[in-house]
Amino acid sequence: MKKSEPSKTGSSTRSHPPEVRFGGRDLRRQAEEKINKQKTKSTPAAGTDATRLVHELQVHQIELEMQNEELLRAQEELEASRSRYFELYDLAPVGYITVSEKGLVLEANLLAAKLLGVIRASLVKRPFSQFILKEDQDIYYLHRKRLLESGDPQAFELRMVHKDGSLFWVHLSANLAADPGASAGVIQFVLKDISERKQAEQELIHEEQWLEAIFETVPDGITYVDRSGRITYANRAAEKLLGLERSILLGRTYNDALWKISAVDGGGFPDEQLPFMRVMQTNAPVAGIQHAIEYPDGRRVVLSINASPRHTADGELIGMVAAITDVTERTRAGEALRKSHQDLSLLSAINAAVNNGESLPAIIKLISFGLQELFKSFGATIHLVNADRSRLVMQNLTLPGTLVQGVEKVIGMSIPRVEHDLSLAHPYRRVMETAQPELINTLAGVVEFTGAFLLATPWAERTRARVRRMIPTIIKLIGRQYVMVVPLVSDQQVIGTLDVGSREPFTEEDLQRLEAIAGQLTTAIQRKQADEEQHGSEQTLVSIYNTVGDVLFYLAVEPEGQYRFQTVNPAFLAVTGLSEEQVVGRRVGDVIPEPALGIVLERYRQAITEKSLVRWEETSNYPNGRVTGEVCVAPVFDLQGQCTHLVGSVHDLTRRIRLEEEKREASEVFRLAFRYNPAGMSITSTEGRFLKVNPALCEMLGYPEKELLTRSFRELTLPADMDISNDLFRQLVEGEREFAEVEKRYLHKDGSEVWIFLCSSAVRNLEGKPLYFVSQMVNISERKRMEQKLQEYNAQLEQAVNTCTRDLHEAQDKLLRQERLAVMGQLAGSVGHELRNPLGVISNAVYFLKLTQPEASGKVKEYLDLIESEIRISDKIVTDLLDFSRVKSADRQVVEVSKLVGQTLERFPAPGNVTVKLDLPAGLPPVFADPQQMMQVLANLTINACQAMPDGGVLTVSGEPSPVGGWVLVRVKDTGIGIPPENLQKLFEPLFTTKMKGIGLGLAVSKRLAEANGGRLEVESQPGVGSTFTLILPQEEAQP
Amino acid sequence: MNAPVTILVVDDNPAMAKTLMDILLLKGYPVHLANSGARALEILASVKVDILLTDVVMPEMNGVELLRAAVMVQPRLIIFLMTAYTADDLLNQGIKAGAKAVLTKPIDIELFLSLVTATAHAYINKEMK
Repeated sequence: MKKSEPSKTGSSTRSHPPEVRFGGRDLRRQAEEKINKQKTKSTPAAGTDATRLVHELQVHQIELEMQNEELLRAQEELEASRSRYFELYDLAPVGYITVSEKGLVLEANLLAAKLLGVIRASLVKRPFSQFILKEDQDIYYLHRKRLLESGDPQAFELRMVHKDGSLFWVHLSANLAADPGASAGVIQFVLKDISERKQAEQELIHEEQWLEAIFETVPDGITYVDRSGRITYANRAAEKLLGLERSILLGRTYNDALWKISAVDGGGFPDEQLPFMRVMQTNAPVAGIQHAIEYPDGRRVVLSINASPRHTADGELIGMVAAITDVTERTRAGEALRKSHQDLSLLSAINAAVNNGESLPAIIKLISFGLQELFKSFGATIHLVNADRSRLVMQNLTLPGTLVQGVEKVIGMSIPRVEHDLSLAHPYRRVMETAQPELINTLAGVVEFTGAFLLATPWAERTRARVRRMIPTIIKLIGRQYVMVVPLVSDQQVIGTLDVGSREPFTEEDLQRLEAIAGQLTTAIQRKQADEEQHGSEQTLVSIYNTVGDVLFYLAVEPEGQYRFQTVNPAFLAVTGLSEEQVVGRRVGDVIPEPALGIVLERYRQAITEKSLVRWEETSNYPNGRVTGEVCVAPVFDLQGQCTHLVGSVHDLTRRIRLEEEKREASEVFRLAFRYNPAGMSITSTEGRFLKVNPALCEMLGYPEKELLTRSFRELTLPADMDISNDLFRQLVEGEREFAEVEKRYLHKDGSEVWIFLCSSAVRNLEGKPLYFVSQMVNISERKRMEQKLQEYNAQLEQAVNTCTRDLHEAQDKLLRQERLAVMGQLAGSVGHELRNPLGVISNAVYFLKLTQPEASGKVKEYLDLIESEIRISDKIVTDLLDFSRVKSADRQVVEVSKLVGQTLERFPAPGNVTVKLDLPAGLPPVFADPQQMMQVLANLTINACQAMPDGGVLTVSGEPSPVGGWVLVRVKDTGIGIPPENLQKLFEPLFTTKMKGIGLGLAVSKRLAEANGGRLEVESQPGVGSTFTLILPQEEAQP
Repeated sequence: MNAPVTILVVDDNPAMAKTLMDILLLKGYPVHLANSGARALEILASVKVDILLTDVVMPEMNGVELLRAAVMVQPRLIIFLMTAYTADDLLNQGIKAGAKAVLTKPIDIELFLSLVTATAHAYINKEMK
């Protein structure tokens, strides 16, 4: 039951038909039963009308009463259900709004009012549309219209306006009111706030659209492959790249047979290297994986793939996103570029070699190595033959290093005759005959080729026989070979062949490239051969003339001793820096400057008159600078014996002379550097003797140079450093080290130590034998001193730290003792007092016994005395304890020392084995002190003294005035065991005791008491000899 | 022959009280014994006592309190305090309140007896006068 019942009072609900069933007949029967029962009980049956009427009335009355009861019950039930309904309605988590046929709000529940931000009462009679965003009102009207027309429930979403103006999304369900009491057209709305969901949706849609837009427009193919390897997403680019429409693509696995996967070079591509496998296995991104795929139509593209794993929010690997790029063109272009670049560089290298006049063997070598590179070949061979192809002119062999390598000129070796069947001939022979290039890619061809090739090689006959046997092995060794052979054709004449072998098959393209190279090679060979043919002796001379480094000149001898330059070689111009015009055709006097000119002319004359070669050294200034050379001229005579020309050469010495000068300068620089070096330097013989020393070293060691040169380094080394020095020296001599560095000490001439940082190296001859040693020495004494000082400081510091630590420990010990003391004090208070009572009782008892037993035996009396004295000692301990815990103030008075000593010894007499000596002069001044306390102190000292002499001894108590006056020194001296020095300090500390008995308070209390009386207590002791305690007390007159 | 001075010994420690009493009896003095202040006051109320020797630290009523109360009962009473405690505020109070001497436990019996004798003589002299 959905419909609202206005939540008012009972009166209005009564009009509502109650859901109670009761029939009049039923009631009547019950009423009659009731009345009959009554009748049988009370009234006898009567047959009269009146009786019947009465009966009827009674029945009717009861009937009415029962009816009334039923009604009341029904009403109660109704009330209950109404309140349940009220809760459901008002407190529901969705909003309810009932709208009239005119679109006015009839009623609304609490949540609806809350959603709209208004009070519930104010909602009533306001148009519902008022709360809907203007732009979305059409949605509302549309669905309302539909609902009213069809009666079908409607559900829709739109935006509503909160009272504060904010918008929120609601999901609305609309129903016609089922309430029979309601008029037609009343609609009930259920409102659900879906703002959050809507927002999330909106964002999601936004993001998805955005991503999709990106994916669809990027040039890279993007695919998503799920965990099972199926492609579940592919963008437009991927469609194109993979050559399949998305409808076909999606759902297929990454390695579907539709696209054949291969490596970039055409070989197989292992499945585990595919991006999907790698990503799934490593759970990490991969980049730049390249492989090719072949479409069903046979097209082949090379792809480069970057891929990343995709995870769920909780890190589970669910698939892979791959970005695919077509790199076919790039690869192809790159490959072609690379190849053509290689070809070009080889060709240009060949050209350069030819132009530089390299020999033919060198060029051929260059080509064969270039070809190996180019075709990844293991060998390239060039055969050159003579015109009728009967003999080999040249052949190079480059095979794997195990066999033959190099270029050989094999002029005149006959070529094996061509067999009747050309196909069985060695390929190069065949190609020579046919002038057709061959590509041998079959295994049989290869084997045959290799064998034939080996046999065709110009071995000696014995070697050939051995090689023949070895062919199978060699083939196995060399492995499978593929061969290309191309002819070298010049003027339609085959002049040779070029072949290349490889372990990989060759392509037609390779063959074409080889042919191109062969063409270039032919040209180069032709040029080379032509060059070589043309080069006669003249050419050679000219070439020498032009290229030699020495100056050459040709002079015409003219009358009157004149000489004219007819020709000079380029070296002449290069050395002098003169131009050809400045020399050729000019007289010698115009070219060679004075003063050399005079000598030159003189020498020329000499050569002519002596008809011989003349040499001299000459130095002149030319534009290039000073030139010194060894000149040599020879006269040339005509048939008449007339000297017509002079031929001369000049060997340029300028450079040599300059070098010599430089060397001289350098040696001077070195000399200066050695001499003025602030560091000590020496050159030492291999025996260790000083061969050369600089002033700095002399200064450092305090020796004059002369004297130092008579010494060896060993003599000056501090003995302590000798081993390490000798060791290093030996290592240098034996070449274990190139140089040595060491910090060592030398002895100064004055005997002091000098710390030296020594750096030494050996100068060796070509055999590595050391010639001498060069050493540099720096005085580091100061640094060493500082180091030493630092070490000392460190040690001091350490010691200071140690002292501090010890003090700390002691302080801690003291603290601990004081703590013990504090506890002691408390204990002392209570224990001491508690002991005094029993002691008192014992004391009383002894007194009583002594009193009552005057007749007792000596033994009993002795024992009673014993008890009495022990009680006294016990009491003293207790007193010490109590005194220590609370020192009484001193009650000081003037008192004689002898009286104090006497009373003490009387109270605490020394045992029998101790002899007591008193030395208290009569004139000893009295002291100012508390007699009780002083007696306590003296008692402590004498008891201790006696205890220090368990086997007897002498106890001396003496007194004397202090030398400075004002004090009296009372000494208690024993001849006992003494006190070890380490105990002396702690002696006066409380709780320090070495006795088995006692608690270590006696001396502490004594000291306190002495101090409380303005005095001091001191001790001296010598273990095994005895101890002396000195109580120093103020004299009477010292007191005010 | 000792003068007939009556002594009341008060100590909560029965052994202490008893040994003292025995010694004093032996010396010929009439002695009364009490183990608490209250008991002592009872005795003081019924018997004339010349010297009161009382412990200071006792439960319920301490020696000084007893002293003050005892003087009210018998103003001429000569009082000695005995204590196991050397320095105590209570002792000072006791001396201020009229104690003749403070004896430290264990008591020097000889000293105490000499004090008693001196008291007795003074007493006799007084009586004689």
